[in-house]
Amino acid sequence: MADHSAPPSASSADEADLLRALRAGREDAYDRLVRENGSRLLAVARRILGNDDDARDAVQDAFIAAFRNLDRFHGGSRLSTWLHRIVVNAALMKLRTRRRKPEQSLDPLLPSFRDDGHHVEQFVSWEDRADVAMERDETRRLVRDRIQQLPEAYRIVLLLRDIEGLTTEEAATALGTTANAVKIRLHRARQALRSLLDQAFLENQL
Amino acid sequence: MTCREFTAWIVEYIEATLPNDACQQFEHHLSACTNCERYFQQYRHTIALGRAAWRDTPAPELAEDAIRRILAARRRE
Repeated sequence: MADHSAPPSASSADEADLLRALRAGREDAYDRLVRENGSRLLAVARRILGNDDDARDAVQDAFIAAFRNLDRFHGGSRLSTWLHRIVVNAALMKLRTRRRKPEQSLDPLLPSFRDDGHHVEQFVSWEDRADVAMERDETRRLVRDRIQQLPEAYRIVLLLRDIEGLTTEEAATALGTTANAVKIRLHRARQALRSLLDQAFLENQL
Repeated sequence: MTCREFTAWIVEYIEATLPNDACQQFEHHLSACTNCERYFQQYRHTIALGRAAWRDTPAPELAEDAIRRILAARRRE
């Protein structure tokens, strides 16, 4: 999986030096932390929030939260991973303050079953087309577009688990829900995305 | 196992959290039902396509004024 929380370049020794400098309150260390991680965190916030202004605010909130909590960072993970989790939380907080759109039903995108438990639909094989397609920029753009079409509650779970790489438990904590609820929503989100991508395959858009 | 049950167990199967007997039932259905085998492969491709979706997209630049605002906010702390 693409690790979007991967640090740009810092080695662990480098990171330990940076952490010491941050804790000593050195301005150049804060400057470096923000410059080395800012773009990556902005990309994460933008995926979740979908617009640049809110994403920039979330990144600012995230850095300020990180500065305040530096003493509580004990090196159990990479600094970059820790910052990644903080910006995810900041973006989710921002999302909660927005007016919620009425949630569309996902049901038309989920598989339907006959009374005997068999699928109604006959699926076609994507064969190797998916592997080939994902190497193309247009495909990746189309997939991003289809993910954005998912209702928010499902889009967010899919982003956190499959794109941002959070575990089920981490996603549950970030969303204030249970691990089981995350699994159920993730499954429905992937099924809905599968249906949207299947339509694109059938229409030869992929 | 029905196709409905098979479909409901996909997440647990992928995360390797199905108990052994359920796992065997799942794999038996997978090898016996072409339609579910295709659905399962599409589901796995969907995860892979999602993971690849933002690959190679350049990270947006955090503008200089935003960086300055963050550093100024820290100094005020």
